[in-house]
Amino acid sequence: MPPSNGSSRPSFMKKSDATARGRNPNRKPNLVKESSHLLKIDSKSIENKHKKREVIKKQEKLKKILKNQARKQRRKDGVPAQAPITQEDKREKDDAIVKDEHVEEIKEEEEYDEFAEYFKSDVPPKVLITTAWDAMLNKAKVPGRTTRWFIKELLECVPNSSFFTRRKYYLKQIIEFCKKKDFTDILVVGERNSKPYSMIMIHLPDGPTATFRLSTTRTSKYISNRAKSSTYYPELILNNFTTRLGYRMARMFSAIFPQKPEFTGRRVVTLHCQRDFLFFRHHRYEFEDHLKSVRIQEIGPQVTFRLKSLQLGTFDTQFGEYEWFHRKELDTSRRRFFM
Amino acid sequence: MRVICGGDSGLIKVIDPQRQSVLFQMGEQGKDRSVEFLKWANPSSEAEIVVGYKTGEIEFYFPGTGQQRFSLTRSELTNIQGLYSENRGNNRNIITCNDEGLVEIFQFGLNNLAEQEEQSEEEEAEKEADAIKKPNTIKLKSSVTSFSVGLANVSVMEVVNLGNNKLELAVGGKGNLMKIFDVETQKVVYRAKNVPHDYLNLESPIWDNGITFLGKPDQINANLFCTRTAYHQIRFHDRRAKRAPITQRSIGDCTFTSLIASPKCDKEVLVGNAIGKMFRYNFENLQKKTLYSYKMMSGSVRDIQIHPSGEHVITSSTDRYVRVYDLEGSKKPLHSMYLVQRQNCSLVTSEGMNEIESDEDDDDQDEKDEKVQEPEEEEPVLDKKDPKNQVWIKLKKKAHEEKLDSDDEGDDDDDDDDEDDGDLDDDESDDD
Repeated sequence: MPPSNGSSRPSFMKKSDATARGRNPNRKPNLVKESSHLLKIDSKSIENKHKKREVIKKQEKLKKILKNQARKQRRKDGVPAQAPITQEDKREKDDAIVKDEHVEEIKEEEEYDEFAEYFKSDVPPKVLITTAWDAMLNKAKVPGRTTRWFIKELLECVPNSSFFTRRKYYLKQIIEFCKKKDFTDILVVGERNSKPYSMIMIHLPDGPTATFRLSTTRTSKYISNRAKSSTYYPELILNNFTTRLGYRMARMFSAIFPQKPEFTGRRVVTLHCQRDFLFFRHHRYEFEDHLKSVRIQEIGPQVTFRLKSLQLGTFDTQFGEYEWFHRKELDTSRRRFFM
Repeated sequence: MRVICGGDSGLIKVIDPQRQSVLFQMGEQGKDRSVEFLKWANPSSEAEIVVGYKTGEIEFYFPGTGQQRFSLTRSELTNIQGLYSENRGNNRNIITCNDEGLVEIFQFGLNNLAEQEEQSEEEEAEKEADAIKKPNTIKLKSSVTSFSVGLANVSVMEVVNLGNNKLELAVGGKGNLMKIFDVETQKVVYRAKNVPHDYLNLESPIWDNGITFLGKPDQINANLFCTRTAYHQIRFHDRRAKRAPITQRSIGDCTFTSLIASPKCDKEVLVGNAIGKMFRYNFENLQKKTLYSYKMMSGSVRDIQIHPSGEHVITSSTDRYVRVYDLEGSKKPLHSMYLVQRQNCSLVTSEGMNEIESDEDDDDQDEKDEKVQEPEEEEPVLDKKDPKNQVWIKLKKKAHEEKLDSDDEGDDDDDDDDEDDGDLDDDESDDD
């Protein structure tokens, strides 16, 4: 998570000063020794349940403090810290991770891709945003408060985008209308319990459709010390996409934003992929001290995407073929990731 | 076992899935140049393959060496929905079917080709040595015969060889039921009928996507066949009985994308889904409610092929993997190989699983055999103080004595053995 400017708490929730309560702010904590009498008690021999629990609690507290003291001593002596072991290090070996041998084939394939036309031309993209159709009620629901706020932020973030209400049209009809009017992408935001829940991304004219599950969406109201967006074209950062599927998703996201960023606007959109979750963040940055350090301030929505399926061709659930479809039986272990 | 895989952007690779190696790579990548059909040029031999692209080109390759033999061009060959080729004497027949129902049969001689190849080699030897050798391209002048099938939309075409140079052609499409034609007389032999109306008295929609003739690959029975529809249904027909299908079964929620007859039984079929599920269904076993399903595929199953021995199933799917399964056994793949393109079709050679050995492997094995022989010549050393080994030592002694009777060498060794055995015998008698 990129840090915001200053502390993470808003100002009205800061801790009160220690002097106000009458305590000495320069007090040093007591040193715990290994030979303290509490640690020598054998907790298993106590038969009274309540007394046993008290003793165990106190012992655990002391053991924690001892551990911290030992670690600080080791740093003082100069023992270097070990690198942390994460789930990413233990990731299962995957053939689909892009290696140097595959790069030539992939480059040639991307020349004749569905996105090749867009990347070779100079036309900026044109994005359409709508809401979803409710199959139970058989009509388009009016979107709730949080989804409306979320769509408003998306409109500021993505340049050259517009919002239309979903009246009574099926998605296949909408796709035909868009092709006539030279749109390049469609985003459909679905909701559940009046909160944004899913998203469908369609690339026109012939492109793939991707369906996502949105797990957390935070609008700018809940971000402390936020900035306002501007109309300059943003810069894109795509992080940590390793497999072939990941490359394809990165290409799809970069087709939504215009190709030539305006650096005078100092606006950045990052997509970070980790453990099959895509984190979407939107920042404003400023260099200082002759380009030696950077300060950032967050704008706009925070979203996490999870890919559910990738379908070849435009939206067609009845007769369409899937390039990747997620099922539970594919999750064989906790160390297996697809992007 | 070697597998020939055709990709979605024009590359054809010959791979060995057990050793995870790519032997040859043929073809070029291009726009809309996906490999739609991969078949043997002559169904009785495995020396040459026919490749049909989406742009309308047909090319012939040798999978053993990776070279291209020649290619065919014709401006009106677009949207091919079926391809079949065979050798008859010195001629080659190719049958193709159009999107709008036009069936065309091309015939050209192979002897002319051989002469052309020799001439071209001589010409090129005269030219510069650096020139790239281009394969022959033959322009098809006109088809020998062509007839229209009478259907507005054709999705699939399959040809069956009944022996004695008799061919039958099966055609199906959207809104059009299946028909079977006789190729020589160009007349309809069998016309299928739809399933009766369902419980709401509505006609069930028609879109036939695939056809197979059932039976083992050596003994194809042209009377039994099976079709798959885009509405996730399989239908089983018997030509001798009636025009409507005998049984129909709908499985799952997603369209079917591939179908093949299973080698185990006359009434079994393997079906693949657009999501990545693959089932094995038996028409007779109506009591069994659980389907046998194959696992671990994440993209749509574009093609299923069966090894001629009848034990292995090979699938190619859009998630860029080619997988080898056991027909009956664990439901997970035996081998899976990652190829960078989306896979469209495949072909299997009839060699066994462990039969291919390259030159490098042969050398390694010879060295291993030599090493293995040396330690076996030495006899194992026995612990003489163990009471368990007493019997063996006595037997050895007897064998040694028998040897001694024949040979008169090695007296020193015998003396040492006698002394040791004598000590142990004394110990035993003391214990008793």
